[in-house]
Amino acid sequence: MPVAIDLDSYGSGALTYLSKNLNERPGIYRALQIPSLEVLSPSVSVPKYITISAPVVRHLRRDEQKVISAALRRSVRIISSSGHT
Amino acid sequence: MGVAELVQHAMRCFAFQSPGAFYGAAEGRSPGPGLVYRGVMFPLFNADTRTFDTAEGIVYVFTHECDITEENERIFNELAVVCPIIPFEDFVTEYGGSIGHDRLPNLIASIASDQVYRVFFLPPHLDELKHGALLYLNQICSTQADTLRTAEPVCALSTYALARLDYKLQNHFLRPKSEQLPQLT
Repeated sequence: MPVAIDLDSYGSGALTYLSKNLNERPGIYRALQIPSLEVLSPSVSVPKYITISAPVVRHLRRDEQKVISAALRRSVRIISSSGHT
Repeated sequence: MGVAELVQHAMRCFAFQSPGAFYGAAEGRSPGPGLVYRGVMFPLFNADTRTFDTAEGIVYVFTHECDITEENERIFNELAVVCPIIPFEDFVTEYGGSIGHDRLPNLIASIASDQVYRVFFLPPHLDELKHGALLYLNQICSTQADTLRTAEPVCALSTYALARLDYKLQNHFLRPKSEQLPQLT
């Protein structure tokens, strides 16, 4: 899922840098501040900081966490158990 | 939906462009990042006893091959870091039996589209991975490195797949804290 970045006015250089580094990592940050981009796109005047809002990712619910752990137990062979007798 | 339909559903939602480019042969490669092995021992938490059992299953290797190989004499290389692999059909069976199937397609869509922080979807391949599998990153653990040297290889991830998984690890381990730590002033 691509990160939504509205940087049309900041030049293709900035877009290329950001999409290359963030497109495969959607939803990491709620807001990401990137320092000055002048060095990337010197011909374009950009503000010192750009805030990028990424989509919020989905977290596992508690019951789903238990299920995924149970699924792992289902798939393995138990060699030894510390179960009480 | 049965397992086959859910696999198709997952692949329709799959986050990355080239599921067919995710794997290659493990033969001739040493245990290290990108490699998958069967018959490897690892600790598995027992929720009933609140202690760890010893399990044997399929794992993905994280530790660098130079830190596993016997040819390199290094300190602190008795252990290797691995992540147990959960075959997709086991997850589907367990989910259906515990929670029911209604919510499962939505969760699978989220997992396959790489929206769930802790879970990485491995697309279908061969053998134990024929329906795909899940890496549950909270299950990352250690095993004795010498068990990997004698374990049977299943497959290797491609460089493309490894890069996708590396990003996932960065997401999981390095996302900004929500609670402020003491700051150096």
